[in-house]
Amino acid sequence: MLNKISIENFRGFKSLQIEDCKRFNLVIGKNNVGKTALLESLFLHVGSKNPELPIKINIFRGILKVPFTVDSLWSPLFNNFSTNKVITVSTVDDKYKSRRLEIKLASAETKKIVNHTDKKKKDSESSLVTSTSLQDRIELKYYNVENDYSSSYAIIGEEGITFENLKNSDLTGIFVLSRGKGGGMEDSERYAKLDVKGETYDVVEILKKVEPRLRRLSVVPHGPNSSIYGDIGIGQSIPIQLMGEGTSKLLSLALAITAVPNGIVLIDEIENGLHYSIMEEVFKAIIELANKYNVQIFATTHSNECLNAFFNSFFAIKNNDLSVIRLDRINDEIKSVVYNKESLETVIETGWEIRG
Amino acid sequence: MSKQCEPPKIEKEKLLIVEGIDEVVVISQILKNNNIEDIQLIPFGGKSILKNYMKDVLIKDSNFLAVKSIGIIRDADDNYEGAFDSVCSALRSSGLDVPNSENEKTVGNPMISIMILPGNSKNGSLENIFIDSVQDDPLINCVDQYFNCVSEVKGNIPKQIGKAKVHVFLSANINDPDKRLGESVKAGIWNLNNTAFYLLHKFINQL
Repeated sequence: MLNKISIENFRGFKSLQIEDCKRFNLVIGKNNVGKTALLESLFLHVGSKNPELPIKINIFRGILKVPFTVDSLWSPLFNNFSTNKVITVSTVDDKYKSRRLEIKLASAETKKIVNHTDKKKKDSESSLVTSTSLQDRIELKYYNVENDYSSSYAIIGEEGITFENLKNSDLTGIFVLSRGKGGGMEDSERYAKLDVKGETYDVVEILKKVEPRLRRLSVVPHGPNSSIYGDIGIGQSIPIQLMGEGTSKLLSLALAITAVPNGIVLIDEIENGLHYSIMEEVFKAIIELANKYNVQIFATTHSNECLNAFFNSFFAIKNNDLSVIRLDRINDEIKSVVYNKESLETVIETGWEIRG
Repeated sequence: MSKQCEPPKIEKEKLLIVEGIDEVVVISQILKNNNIEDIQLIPFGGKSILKNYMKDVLIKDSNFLAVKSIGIIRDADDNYEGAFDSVCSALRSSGLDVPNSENEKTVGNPMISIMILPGNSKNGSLENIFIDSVQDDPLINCVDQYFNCVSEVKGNIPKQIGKAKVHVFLSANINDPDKRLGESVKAGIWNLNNTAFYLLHKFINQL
């Protein structure tokens, strides 16, 4: 479980330190202070040997069609688009083990042979030439707890983007998107894996918090795809999406937790799709599940109801393993303030505003 | 959290942290009388939680770095030294500068100053100042005589004699004998410009 996080030169963060992280960490703050970027940095960190992730986090943001150029793909990762700097995401876990990810535009030359066959070009240009591009690739250099490092690359080429040295990391994690509806292919696969192991009970039980009629879930294949259906006692099972956004969103959260035991789940705008009246029960269930699977959670929220439900659920079950991380913009830099159980008790007692 | 109104947060560059609602009412009136608008009054709700209030709430507020000056006012009760030390301890635990005495103001950012009521290193409370302010009121003789009688009958008088005297003084109000201090200030019963309030005025003005 991560205890300290240090981020440099990533997105809006010039230098951000967060200490005293807990099992469940709720990230708050005004708009445009980097709540989602914090989750993205952790996502890159847990998948440090996967050079696809810098592309994926752009896709998560809804940036789907961009030119394959340094300016479009890599520059937005760097604070102030300063691609001459190195992005670092460092963590220390609860056993005092350190890990570090460095991301930089690769300094090694990439040589490629370009065959100019355009007859309109001058002869000198029509021959085979060697062109050199210094900054069309991005390097992810990961230092593990033994301080051994390995590098992987995402390279912009004429045919698209290629990846080198893609490996599994020693950390595992899942990013649950704010706009994710749940119940899609990824969820189906995760549910099917649970089903094979006979471990679907927890997921069904958590969904009953929002849909008490639910009896069972099943994965229904259709062509190359599959969906999750639920039996709510109306004669036939129905797609989980038809049971409401809250049900499918909660299903996604529960499946994400069960899919990465001992890992990290990153949830953007956790309140989306969940009615305030069920949030406390949902939090209690998620806390229980996260404890059972030894999963650490970082979730963002804009909602005061969500924040209150978060407090109430932890205090109701007498669980101290929580923190609220607020990001503040101070003189063009983003800084963090962390509230632990003790300080949250004072906040509740005084009714003080902590959302920033 | 309160659902009736917006939760409190730091909104001004000068903070005056006081114990409870009575202090808020009294000092609000003093601020109003003197057209002082750049001070935010914050009641911390009890001596025992000042330390937590400082370290868990105030210094973590998103506007705290904009704060230029903090004044803390609390009652001495029956231990002036202990009261001053207690405030200093709360400041230290929050990583804030600590003045050496009541009459000092730290020079850092934010500047910190402390006033232990009723002032002049005496034991007592805010109410002692109010009683001092009515020494020329004929009614104060009745109050004093009452406590002389109490002393004779019971062998002692309340430790917090200032608070007790204010209650008795206010109970003599013909039309409304059960007003609390804050309510009586709102009703204009006291003259907050009396010289007894000089040190409090001075502290506020120097914030």
